[in-house]
Amino acid sequence: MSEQDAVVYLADKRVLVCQNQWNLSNLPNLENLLQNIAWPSTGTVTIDGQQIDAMDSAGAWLFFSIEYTLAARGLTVVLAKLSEAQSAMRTLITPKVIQMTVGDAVPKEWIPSWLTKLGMQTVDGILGLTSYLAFIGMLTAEAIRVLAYPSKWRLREIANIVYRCGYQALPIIAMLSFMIGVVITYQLGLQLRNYGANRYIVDLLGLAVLREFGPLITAIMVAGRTGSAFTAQLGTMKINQEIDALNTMGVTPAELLLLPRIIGLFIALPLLTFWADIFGLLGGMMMSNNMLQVTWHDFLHRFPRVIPLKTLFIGLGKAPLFALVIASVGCFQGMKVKDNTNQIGLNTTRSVVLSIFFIIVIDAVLSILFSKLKL
Amino acid sequence: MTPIIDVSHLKIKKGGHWVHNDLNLTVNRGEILGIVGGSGCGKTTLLRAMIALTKPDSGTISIFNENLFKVSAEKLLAVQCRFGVLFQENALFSSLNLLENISFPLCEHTLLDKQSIERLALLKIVMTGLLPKTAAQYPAELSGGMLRRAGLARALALDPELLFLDEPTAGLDPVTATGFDELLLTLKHSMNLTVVIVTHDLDTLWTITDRVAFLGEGRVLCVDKMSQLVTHPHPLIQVFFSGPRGRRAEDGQKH
Repeated sequence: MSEQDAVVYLADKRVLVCQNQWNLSNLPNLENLLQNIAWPSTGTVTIDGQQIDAMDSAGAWLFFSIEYTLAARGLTVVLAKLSEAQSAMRTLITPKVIQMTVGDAVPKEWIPSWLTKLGMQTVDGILGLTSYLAFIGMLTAEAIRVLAYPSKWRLREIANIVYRCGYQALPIIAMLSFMIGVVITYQLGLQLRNYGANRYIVDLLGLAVLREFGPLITAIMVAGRTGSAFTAQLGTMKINQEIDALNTMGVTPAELLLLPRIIGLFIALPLLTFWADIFGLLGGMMMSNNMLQVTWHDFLHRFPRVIPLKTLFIGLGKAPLFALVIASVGCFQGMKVKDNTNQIGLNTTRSVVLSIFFIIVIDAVLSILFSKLKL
Repeated sequence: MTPIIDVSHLKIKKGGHWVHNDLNLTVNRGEILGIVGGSGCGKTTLLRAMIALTKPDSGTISIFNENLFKVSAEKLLAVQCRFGVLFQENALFSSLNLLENISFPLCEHTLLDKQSIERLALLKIVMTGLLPKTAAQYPAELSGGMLRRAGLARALALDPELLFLDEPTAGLDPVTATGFDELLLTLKHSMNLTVVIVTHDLDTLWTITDRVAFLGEGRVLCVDKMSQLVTHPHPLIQVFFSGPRGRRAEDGQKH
């Protein structure tokens, strides 16, 4: 749509005639027409808007801003008599409003350069680490304080966490570890069969599942399932000011919300890991039976002779460490949420990523440590 | 003159009981209609039905002569572009700054270039009484009164003919609330708006509304000017307006 006669400048009479539709949909056309007008350099110009059929706030803004821009060029501007609707618009779009909106008045958001960003992220990282340490310190102090009052031990809360994070996770953990057992046996079995060393699957599977896969898969699963839930729950409570309400009632969030979560997961994760070990081995046993002709009986007969009990304990021993990482990172990220629902999503993601990152780092450090100690 | 909104024989069931049972209401062009009633009488439910968010169980709602729940998706969109809504909690997008928030409807429904959109959005920000520099700020950085104005600016982005406001002065201090009422009146006169306003604020009801609809017992008990409404004999209306707050707001009007 381009109506050429919406804006006509009569150079001989020094009159700008505005007519037809001055509204949002016609705005690009109007702006275009206005730009092509050859304005005189001095003198008086009359703006005549009496022929305008319809005018909304966008049109009114353009109409009144002509006056402003021409005046800025040193011309004297006369507005012809305004209609009733136009004068009503004039009370809304005053010269002051025009002055605040024309030209490059649109404020720009500050976008930092990559170097600034790098610096900001580094500082954020360091500050994050110190506040995490402060959080851990606060938790320890709270734990010591609560220890003296058995009435504040919140056993019910702890049981609730064990139920939700442990008991309810049993099916998914069982299924996952069973399948991991199947996969490892299949891949290792293919190689062992070439050498006719089928029965060594028991040694390999026992070590791999008990020492590494059981604890690791369980911890990663729980980080995704429980760590994220901790962050989201606490973050929502923070936004709803439930945390503030608790504080004013003389109950610290650490005592009612954080410590039970950490202790609960500390209890649940080793149990879950043991459960995962059982199903990982079951999966492996089934695959050995079907693919490698190592029967259930052969497997169970060989297992205690080649796998020492300490393998199980080393695997289970990692679980409480992982539990502390998952629960403390989850709670920390949840408590860090403030004033913005957006942050719940961001912090939940961060909580899962950081938990899994630290789980794998700890696992690697422990592996090196154990090899040095010849365990 | 045909009414701009026509609600007839509206029935809405919620949680096993009828919130609205045969509710009728019309809104005329150019008026400010207040909707009041006790807590839980279905003010917000009615508003949600009028802006096509809740489908009624039976009855019709027509806006600009289009039956909201019968028209095609394109026609519904055309109707939606002609009204603006200010939600109770403002509902500004928290991941966008104010300028982007207010540009959003313009980007979606007009063919303007980015620069024009930004300037029009800035115009709406300034029109609602905010300073231009707030445009680059995020909703989380602003106070309640400023957020309310920003929400109004977004509702006005497409120059609607009809404006729905849900509790616009709730949670604002008296000075800010009065300022907001004045702003609404100015905007209404200059942009020729029709306004439907759900509110508990008795001062707002007295100062800016042309007519007020009182909801109760699942229907509209009375629609009239505020000065007439308070004399209505229905017990619910009497209880609502005869408390100390109701009296004070009424006295404030007379002096």
